[in-house]
Amino acid sequence: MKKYVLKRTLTLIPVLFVVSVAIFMLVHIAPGDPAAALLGDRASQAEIDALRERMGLNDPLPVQYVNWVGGVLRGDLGESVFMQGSMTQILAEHMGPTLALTGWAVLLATLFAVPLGILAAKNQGRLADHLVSVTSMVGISMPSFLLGLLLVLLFAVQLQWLPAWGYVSIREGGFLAHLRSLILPAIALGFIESGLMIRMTRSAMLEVLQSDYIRMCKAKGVSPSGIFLKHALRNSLISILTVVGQSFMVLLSGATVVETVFNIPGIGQLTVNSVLRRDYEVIQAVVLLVSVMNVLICLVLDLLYGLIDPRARAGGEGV
Amino acid sequence: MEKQSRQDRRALEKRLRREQRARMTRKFLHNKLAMLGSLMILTVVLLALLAPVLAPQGPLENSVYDRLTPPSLDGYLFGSDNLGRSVFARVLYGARLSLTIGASVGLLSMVLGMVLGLYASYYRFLDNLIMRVCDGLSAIPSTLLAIALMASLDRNILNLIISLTVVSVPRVARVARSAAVVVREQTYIEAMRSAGASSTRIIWGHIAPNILSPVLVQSSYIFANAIITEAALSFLGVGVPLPEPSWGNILYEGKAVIHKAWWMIVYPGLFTAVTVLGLNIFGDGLRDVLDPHTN
Repeated sequence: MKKYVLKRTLTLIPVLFVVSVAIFMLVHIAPGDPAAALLGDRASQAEIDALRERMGLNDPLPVQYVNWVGGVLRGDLGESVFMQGSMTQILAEHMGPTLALTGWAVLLATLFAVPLGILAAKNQGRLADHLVSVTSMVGISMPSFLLGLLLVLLFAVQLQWLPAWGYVSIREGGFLAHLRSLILPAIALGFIESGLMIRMTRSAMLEVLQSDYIRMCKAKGVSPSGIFLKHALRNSLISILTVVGQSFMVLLSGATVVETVFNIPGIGQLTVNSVLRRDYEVIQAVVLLVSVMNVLICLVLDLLYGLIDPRARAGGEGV
Repeated sequence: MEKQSRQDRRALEKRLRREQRARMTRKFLHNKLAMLGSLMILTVVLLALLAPVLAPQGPLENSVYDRLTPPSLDGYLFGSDNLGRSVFARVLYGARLSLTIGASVGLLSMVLGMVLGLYASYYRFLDNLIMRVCDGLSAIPSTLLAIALMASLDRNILNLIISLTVVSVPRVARVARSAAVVVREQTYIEAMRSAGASSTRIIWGHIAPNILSPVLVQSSYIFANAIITEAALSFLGVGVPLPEPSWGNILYEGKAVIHKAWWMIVYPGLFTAVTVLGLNIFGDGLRDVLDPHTN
């Protein structure tokens, strides 16, 4: 197990290297001078030169890269040209709403998708299975922001049951107001992922149900509900949990777009606003933070998987 | 004598290929998913092609007196937008743009991903390099990477296609590589190598045709995904520049007047959802048709 943990952790190095180079290069693929683009047309040459100096743009590229990575490793993510406060502070402020939204979306998607996936697997080939397949197909094909807009139209504009946009944190308005502000965005975000989750749950259940030991149970005369609950469900739970874990990351990045629909001041909105004013250092910091989170979550999931399933350990990457 | 036998063999090969094609077509025509998906896509493509006929007033022509008119059969079919332009015309012309962008991204990713995947599978030293770069790029969430790329590049359609392709290529490359690795180990490839065939001939003549099915299926999903991401980027205001209509752009403008004009959300939304659904259903059908196990 130790060897597996070490081996898997070492695979992070090239991935993180590529991630960091890609994110570093984002600033440099821009045509023209990034400092000039950042400051806009009205900036004087002296201002541009000062910013170039501050951003270290006068050094050769490899030196800039090493400086940037060195800064990141020391926890210095750069400075925003437009916003006050340290980058860490800016990111932390915007991360709260995004994490809350993502958390609710994962919860809703799981509560919706896992039972449906199990239902479909249990009734394979029957009407219920087909209905669930159609639901999951629609989920996969519906862009989250579109579903968000349609939900706003129905529940906020037509029925006026819920607020159209805005975000209330638990500290500001209490739990109920918090939930009211997040329920529509969480449904919009969660539904797209539930499509995939339904499919994965269904196929994980089917795989277990078709295995030899289930056939053996049947032959021994174990009751169908006993087989289902005791053996099938328990053994497919690992795959289902993996899907839920992975969905967290998908939804975290999907939140970017949904936040804009509902005016939630999370990292998505921060990114979009920074893109519109070309605040490169904020964009770099956000993309880096989310990517590193992604890589780490994958690592944890893989390690957990290795802990539970010895075959994953032995096979390494190829399994 | 030898010439005769060579001609016979060619004729036989030709006949076999023809039969295989006919069998595939039959299978495709009998696959309900593939047909349903094709029908949905073809409908949208047809409407997009006929845009100048169906909506002669064009997507940019506006009349200030007709702002935000609700849909009606004798006036604006899909209503008019905040500047008094026909939403019907904008949705149809938007279909042209969204489909062109989606198809270009699908095609470009397919070609690039296949090249990368094939060479990665064939040369060990390239394998590590290419696949690690792909791993790294796919570790960055795709929508976020596309947004960040658009922040650096100028906002135009070509750059949008480039950004979406960069995001999609690693996915195709991975599928292509894993299929090619299986083919590479087959005995006939070994035989060709020992007979002295050049690498290029083996890669393009014998491995590439055999990995086409999974790559094709993956590309149809990429096509669908590119339409979603393009709509999302345009909706965020970093995709197709205004006033050019794309489905995401119409939704972007619709959001501001959502309390007054539901038609600016519902119609472009319907077209986006139907197209993406059609492509996904088509992809599933294509996978069944091309998979030899489902004969």
